[in-house]
Amino acid sequence: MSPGRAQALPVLLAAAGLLVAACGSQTAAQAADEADEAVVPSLQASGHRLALSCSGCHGGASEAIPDLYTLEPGEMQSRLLAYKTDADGTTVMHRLMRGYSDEEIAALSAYFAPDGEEE
Amino acid sequence: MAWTPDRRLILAGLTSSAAFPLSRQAAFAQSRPKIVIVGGGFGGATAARFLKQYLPQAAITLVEPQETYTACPFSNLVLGGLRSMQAQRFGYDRLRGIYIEVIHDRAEDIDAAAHTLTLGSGQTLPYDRLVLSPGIDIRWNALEGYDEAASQIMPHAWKAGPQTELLRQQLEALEDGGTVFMSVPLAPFRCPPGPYERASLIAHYLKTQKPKSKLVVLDAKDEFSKKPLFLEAWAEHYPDHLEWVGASDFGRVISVDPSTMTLSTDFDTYTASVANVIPPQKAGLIAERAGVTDETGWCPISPLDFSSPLQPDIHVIGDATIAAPMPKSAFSANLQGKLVALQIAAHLSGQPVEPTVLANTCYSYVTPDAAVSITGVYSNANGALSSIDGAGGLSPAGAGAPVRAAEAAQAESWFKQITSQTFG
Repeated sequence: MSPGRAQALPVLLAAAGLLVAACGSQTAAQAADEADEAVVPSLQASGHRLALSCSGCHGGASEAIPDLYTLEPGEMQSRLLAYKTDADGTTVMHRLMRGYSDEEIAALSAYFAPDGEEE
Repeated sequence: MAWTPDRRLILAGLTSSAAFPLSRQAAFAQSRPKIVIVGGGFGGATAARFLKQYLPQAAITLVEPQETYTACPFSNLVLGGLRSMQAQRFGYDRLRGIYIEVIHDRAEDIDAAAHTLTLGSGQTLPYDRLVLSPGIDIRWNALEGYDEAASQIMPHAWKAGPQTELLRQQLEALEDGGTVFMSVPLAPFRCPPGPYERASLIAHYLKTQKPKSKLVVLDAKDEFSKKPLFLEAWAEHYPDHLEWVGASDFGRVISVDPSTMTLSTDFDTYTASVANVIPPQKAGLIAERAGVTDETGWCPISPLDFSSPLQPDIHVIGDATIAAPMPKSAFSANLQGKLVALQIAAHLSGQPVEPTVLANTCYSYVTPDAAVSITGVYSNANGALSSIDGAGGLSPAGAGAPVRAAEAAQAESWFKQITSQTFG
């Protein structure tokens, strides 16, 4: 586990505790209902769902496969489009990117952007 | 810095609601949804970890009989004498570290109507959602003569662990000049290119350590995954050490006899020094107990969220599913684990469950320094899993050593990343 995660967990669990503690009351349920409409764009976004396929290989665990979170968003988009359009390309990424629309590539690039902006 | 999607999610949770809030209905129904996952492999362990991130307020329980998981991917390198078994082993401490309850027991039975799972100990676990990732079981006696006792003499080694070690010991004990046989079944089976990667690495071992020996692959099929790439590699590297016999040449094994170490086809009976019998398979037994298998012995699923159409609130992922064109691979199981976690979180929080694009990549070693790959891209929209036209496919035929070496390096990176994402 990364140090970052270890630090993040207590905060996350504290937030979970609040939710659990609050769930019994009408007020909390109303709050959650309001939250449904306003929050979690990041997980509902198409970029997040699309990125599930990427993280099985790309995560910084080793050097032969790039860590996507280190690329600038414009750079990632142009690289992915280049894979898609290079008819002679034969790598795994060439073959994969041919299955993605330009819009999906844009959503993925935004998702992995280092500033954390997600659509 | 090693940014993983897992870590990114958690960090996002510090500044906004990365986790899904429960819907009003769910909040009224129960304060803490119970999600039970059966099977701690690439599908189940991944699902558990991502469910904990998406639904930190849920109680996540993983049921897995073994305290240490032995990975199938890369276990063919162990058989080839190129990798230690220890490098295949993963534990569950890091799942416990993020407050996933891990119970080392067998899942004995499931009452889908009552939403309960019974453990080997007799304990009953209630669930709101159940994720089954049971992998495969062997269809004993589906191949005449091949029962559990036979597997101690003619190992299948199709579940990594003691079977892998047994087959490796037999290969080490093989006298130079002996013949190794491998029997390959009809599809579907776990890891479609697996038998042929294994054949390559056993042939490499024989060529380098037992040069008077050879491997004969008796196949129930004529076509197989990455066939042109394997045939190319075998012709180049193992012309004297590997012979593949397809169905058209009567390669289909119809019975085996461990007492005489023989394998029989329609026309011949072969006597083996070592016999690796890869038998017909089916979904792990607990899937049958849950009532989520169909007449094929595998589990149909809804492509959108991998829920079972046969039982309520049960999802099935990994090798046990009928998810073609997605293959029965560790990559697919891991991805399905992430997807099922996201979609269960969406269900429980009253969010829409949307389709997406899925992918698969499988590498196979053909020598210790050379690998080939197959990829696929899939849509799970419109009620079906379908391959996206024009995408996916094989490594280039006739590529030089640098291309094959690059894919071997990528394979190693893939193993590190996927095991890190699955087990922490």
